[in-house]
Amino acid sequence: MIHADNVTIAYPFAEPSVESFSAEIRTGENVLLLGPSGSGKSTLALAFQGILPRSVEAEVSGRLNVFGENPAAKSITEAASQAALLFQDPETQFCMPTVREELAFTLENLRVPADDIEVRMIEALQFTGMLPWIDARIDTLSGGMKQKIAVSCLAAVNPEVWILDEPLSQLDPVSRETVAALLGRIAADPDKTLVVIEHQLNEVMEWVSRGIILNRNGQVTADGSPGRIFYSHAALLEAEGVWLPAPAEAGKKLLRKTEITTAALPVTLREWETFAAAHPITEVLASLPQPKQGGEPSQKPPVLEVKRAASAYGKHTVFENVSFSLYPGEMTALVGANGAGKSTLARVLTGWEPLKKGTVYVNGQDIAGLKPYEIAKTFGIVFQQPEHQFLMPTVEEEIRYGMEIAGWCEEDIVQHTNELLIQFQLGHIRKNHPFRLSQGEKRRLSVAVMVTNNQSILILDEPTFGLDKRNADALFEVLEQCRRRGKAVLWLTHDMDLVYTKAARILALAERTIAYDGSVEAFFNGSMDLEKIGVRLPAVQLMRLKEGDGHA
Amino acid sequence: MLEELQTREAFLQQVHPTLKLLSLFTVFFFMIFIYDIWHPLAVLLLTVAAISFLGKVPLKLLLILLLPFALFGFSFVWLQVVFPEERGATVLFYVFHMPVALENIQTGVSLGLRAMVFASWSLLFVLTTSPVSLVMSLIQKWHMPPSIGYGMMAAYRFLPQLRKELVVIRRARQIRGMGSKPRMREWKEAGVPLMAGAVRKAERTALAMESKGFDGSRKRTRYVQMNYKKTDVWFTAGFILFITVVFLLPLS
Repeated sequence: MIHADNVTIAYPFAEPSVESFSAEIRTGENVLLLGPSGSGKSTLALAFQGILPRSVEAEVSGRLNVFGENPAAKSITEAASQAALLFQDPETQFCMPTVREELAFTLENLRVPADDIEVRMIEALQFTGMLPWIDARIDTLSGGMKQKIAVSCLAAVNPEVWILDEPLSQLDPVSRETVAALLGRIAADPDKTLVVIEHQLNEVMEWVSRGIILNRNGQVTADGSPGRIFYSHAALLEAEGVWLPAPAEAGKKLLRKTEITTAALPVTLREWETFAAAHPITEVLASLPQPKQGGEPSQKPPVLEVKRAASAYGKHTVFENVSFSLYPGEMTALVGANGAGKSTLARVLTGWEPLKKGTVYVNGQDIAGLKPYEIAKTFGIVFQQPEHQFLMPTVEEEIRYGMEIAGWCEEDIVQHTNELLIQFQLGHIRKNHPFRLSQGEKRRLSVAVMVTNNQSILILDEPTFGLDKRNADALFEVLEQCRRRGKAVLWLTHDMDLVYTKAARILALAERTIAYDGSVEAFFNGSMDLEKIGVRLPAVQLMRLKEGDGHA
Repeated sequence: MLEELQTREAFLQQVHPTLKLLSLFTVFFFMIFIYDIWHPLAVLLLTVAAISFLGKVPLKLLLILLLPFALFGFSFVWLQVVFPEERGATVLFYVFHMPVALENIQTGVSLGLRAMVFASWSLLFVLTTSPVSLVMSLIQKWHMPPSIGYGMMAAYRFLPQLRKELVVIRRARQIRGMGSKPRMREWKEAGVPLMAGAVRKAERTALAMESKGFDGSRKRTRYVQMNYKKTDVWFTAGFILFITVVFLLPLS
């Protein structure tokens, strides 16, 4: 089906991003392409479809055949009807305003006769369960629904090869599960070949049958069944900062303690059950990450106090009766389903949006009476898009900026800037333009610029979005340092695995109010109705529960 | 709001967009030869009536939309009175010792009404035509290249997104800058991340369109045929009658 022999791809004026890639992918296989960011996975995806080098300028050498022919030599229509691409960003995959128009656009491109378009459109939307939204405007749909519409477009085309470039990475856990399940149904079809790039592995492992690991230079370093290559290349993957599925991660730890040798790591929950059964339960439980303990209640006065807050857009109440306090040195995760009002709450806390009822006290003062610069002195707010906050032409000046405005003396500025550059591992790129950094570096810089003013509260919106494991770990190391220095850190997130291991306290928004405020352990131990809150159990907790059942 | 109006079940919304566009140009053309007050007034009233009855657009909304144009139109009256090329003979009254002549008022009102006619016909077009049907008609009937037509559609989708993003960027920068920056500079600087983001989005969308098989050629099937229908015959007949009665008959 896909036959690559010594394929090397280089963008103009750059080192090759893929080097001598060779692989033979057969019909019906479901292949996972794995590697650190910058290993050329997306480049390969574009090349398989032929867009690169047809429309994306790049030098391709070696031999690449899809359906026995070089994809770039095919017409756009032919290439698109044989191999379809699904991209990660749900916002930029459409060109028409409504679902119906987008599907019509797709099918018209492929010259499907006008009489057949309606039928294929409806079939595709039935497959994804999106038929009721056929006349909806795409920009009114949630991210997960948009991605389902994108899947519908592929289903309508019905190609033999599905190339999926991080289809889940920008979705919340609930949508991730449904989209992954849809793709799983395609994967189960023996006539369909799937090539998937993803670092949210827990969901896709259910149907992936083969993994290909690329290294930093885009060379193939391992190729085989996922469990086997995770086992044989564990050290390399760890060094490259690639996420492993949770069962494999725990399995790796478990093996370190025992004499048992094995050929493969478990990659799904089911495999984990069998795998763990061979080990004593105490060791199994010890191999799973522990939730962080909520420390002693703080003796200090709260930095932020919310009292019976309510917010509304017109007649629609977003939340009401929200009361909680944040104390210095606390690491709190704010969770909740899409649209539960997490972002609105964050805006209210920082005085961006007025409250309908109630009060927010910052260090004892009512926020409504504070000026924007007074608020900025108390809060560090890290937005989802790091670029939005960059003002200066170099990393160093970016960090200095806040201190300069605050009127620090040059000596202090230089000293503190150097400290931050080291703490955030940005020293080697201090003269670079902030826009040209990698995603992980941008995110670290956006936090670094927020802690220059000694704000007492740090609020982050989805801080690990799109980061690989190494960058996510580095970021949390920094946040942990901030916390230890007495800042209250609050982050909005969908990622329950992260909450499980990194947060000490959880605030959950559901049914228009705070549905939970307490320790991480109690949140996930089964007493909470997580379905109602719209979150999923983290994979490690599922594994823990399975273990409990299995041995009981 | 706008979309809901554009897709309402009413006569004008059913008319082929190309015909509405042609009628717009025709009216603009004939207005060139009009210098009196009564013709533009009649056209304006008829247009407003047509939009509200045949397009089912609430009259109140229409008048609100026309209000800024009315102010603009009034500025012509003011200009003609204060700075006339040639002051008229029939002085009606004095404002602070300045003579106000009937002829100058007439010219001003005529020019002002002409601006209002342009505005109202433009509204007739904009309020009753959805962008998708316009682009589809232009591609199918006026041979616009699909690459331009669909490109415009993709760009149109970006507009609301850009506006939302600008709000976020401004807030993000305000937090950084401690809310103490001069406004003009702030706007200019917010444009950089906005444009950087827009270029990236545009690239991604272009890739997505090509991956869906869009090659920009005219070889494509048509899910919706933008053909001329009975409504279009009625519209054309009505429009010709209107042009004849208002513009052509008085000339002969």
